[in-house]
Amino acid sequence: MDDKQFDQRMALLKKSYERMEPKLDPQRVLHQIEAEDNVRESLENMNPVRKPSARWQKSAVWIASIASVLLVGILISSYMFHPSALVHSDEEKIESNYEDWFSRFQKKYLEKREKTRLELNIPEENFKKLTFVESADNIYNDKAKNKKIVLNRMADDPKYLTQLEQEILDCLQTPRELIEQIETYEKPMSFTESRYFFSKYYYATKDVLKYYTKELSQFNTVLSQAKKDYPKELNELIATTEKQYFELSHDGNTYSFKTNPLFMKDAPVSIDRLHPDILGLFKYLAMGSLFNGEDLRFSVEESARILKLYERTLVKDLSLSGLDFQLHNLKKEFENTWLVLLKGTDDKNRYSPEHIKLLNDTANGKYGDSMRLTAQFILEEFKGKGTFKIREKLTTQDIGMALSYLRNDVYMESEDGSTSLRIDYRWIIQTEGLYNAYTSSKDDMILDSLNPMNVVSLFLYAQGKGDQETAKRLLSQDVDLNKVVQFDGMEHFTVLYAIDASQTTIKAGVKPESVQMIGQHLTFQLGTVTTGKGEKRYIITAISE
Amino acid sequence: MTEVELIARAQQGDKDAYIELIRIHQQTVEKFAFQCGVHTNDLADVSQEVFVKLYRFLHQFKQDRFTTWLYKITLNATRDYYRKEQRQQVKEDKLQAQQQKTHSSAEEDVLLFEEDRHLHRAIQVLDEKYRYPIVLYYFHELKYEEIAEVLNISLSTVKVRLLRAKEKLKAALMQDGSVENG
Repeated sequence: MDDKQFDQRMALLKKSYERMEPKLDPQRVLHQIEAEDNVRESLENMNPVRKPSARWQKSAVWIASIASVLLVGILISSYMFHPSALVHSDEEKIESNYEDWFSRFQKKYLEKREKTRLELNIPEENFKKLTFVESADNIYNDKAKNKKIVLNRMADDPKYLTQLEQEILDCLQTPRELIEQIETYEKPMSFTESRYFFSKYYYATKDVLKYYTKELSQFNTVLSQAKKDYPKELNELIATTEKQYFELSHDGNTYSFKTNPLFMKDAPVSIDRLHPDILGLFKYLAMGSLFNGEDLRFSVEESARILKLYERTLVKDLSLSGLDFQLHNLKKEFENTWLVLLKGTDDKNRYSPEHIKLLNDTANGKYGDSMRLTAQFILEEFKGKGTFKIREKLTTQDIGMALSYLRNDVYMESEDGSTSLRIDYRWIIQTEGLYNAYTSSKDDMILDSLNPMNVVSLFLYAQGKGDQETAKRLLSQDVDLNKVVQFDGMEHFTVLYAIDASQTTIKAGVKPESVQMIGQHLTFQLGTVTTGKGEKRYIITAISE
Repeated sequence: MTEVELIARAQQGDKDAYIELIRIHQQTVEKFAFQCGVHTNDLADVSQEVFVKLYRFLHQFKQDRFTTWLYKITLNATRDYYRKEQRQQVKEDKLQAQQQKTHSSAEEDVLLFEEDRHLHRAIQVLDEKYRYPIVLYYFHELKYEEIAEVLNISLSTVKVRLLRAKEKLKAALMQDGSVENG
């Protein structure tokens, strides 16, 4: 076993560990802390601090006397042997720097705070309760104003004041400023940067949204009227929120404000710099629940398109981090909505041609990868037996499992951006579904939508079945299929891994018992061709053993 | 709100901020405890102990790396847990028993593939001086310097122990013939 194989095994196990669901209810921690505090308090009340006995008092006096003599000695010696005058002068300099900085910063802080308040148009008594304002005030009062702490930190870190100033002022950014800050990123943002940005944005907006939505409630009676009939105050409120990239939203029952900096009409151009895998979380903020009671708020197609965005974020984000509460809600929304979409919204809809079309489109990957196999199984059962037993038994747990399979077990992304994929029976079944969808329809749209890993997977499946016609559709004209090694089934392979982040070279690892027949690996080079519709499709340009 | 802000607020007694901190870090703590050998049924208890301890010491936290600090507390809580309950022997017996079985139901909940369970068990039977560095390096992506800090050992000791741990694990995997061509 070489290091690479060992590292791969460890990477697979790491992914499995990441599937662990949290066991602890955080409230239990608080209960224990409170219980311990109560016990301690009652013990202290019952047993007031005892006075030490006279014998101990005598010893303590002796110990204190000896310690005092030693302390005086140490102080005198340090005074005699150290250049304390110099140290003293450095301390004074640091202190004077702090005083200068604080008198300037105090003004700057108060000005920025007021500017933010005016832009958001929120009275001080409500403004000071917003989480991000509280946070800024806390850091300002506890850190910036705390001379002793700041002087200590300044002695260790010459840049401390600049960092502290930035940290405090950053807390006071309005949602608009945060969004427009994306422009300062020169390059497209990485997923980690985008995820961090989202968290910051979410915390800065949630209280502001709540405040505006509460303000909106006084206009409940007029909100259903035509916009031209809105009173002046309501128009002003809407205008203020629009400047923050918020939108007035109606879920069928109630009106509220939702933040929609990415998808609204006047969204800033710079938002393109966010990583595409983060869009699901922003979309979720903008949409809220996709349900109004038990009914879908949008058309089936629209809902499925939204879910495709959610899937991308869930697959990416859950692979990297724990399940925080935003993701938890997004995952629940994803599972509940897919369940309704796959089961059909009502009895009439369940057998309609529109519903069968949705199942077909889902099985062909139009709405993402996670539900492809499930939709395919439902369709196969319906075509074969005319029944919908799989669909009837479907639960949100099954949907969660399909998502989990996609995020944990199929794709693994390493730090350098390269990807690998384990070929197990589930992946083979998934590829079989893709193969059946293509061979039964001969629809090139299916091939157009494939990523490099899927192209190689489909090739291995078709070649393993001896279907040269399909295999050739995935190759460029330069590749002579007759010179490619023959094998009987995709089961001879264990893993696909892309050597580079752009996935232009993919290796297919071979099972030990098949090495003699196929070799250690098959290496695929990939390129793109432009289709009739002007889109780029991945094809295999070379295969070597 | 950033982690630094959450910590600052929790230090001031904001319990919501502390709950949020727990939510952010509980998976890391539970994963690490499980990888250190805590049984899945006991993970919630150990994790609770960690976060209670963390709360008690939170006022001492300054500008260190929060997660490094958390790993140290988790490691100590894991050790205390076994020491207090005198479970080390029981645990070793359990591990041996598990090796006899094809499946272990608790592990199956977390590790769906037999090859993952096999590797997990191989890590569990490593001496703890090898187990902790390899767990922190491979599953928590800590740098050598960070591992040295968590385990309170020198940088060169970390490197040597990682190397030996790898050799031992590879040998265990080869011996059982579970090597797959990757």
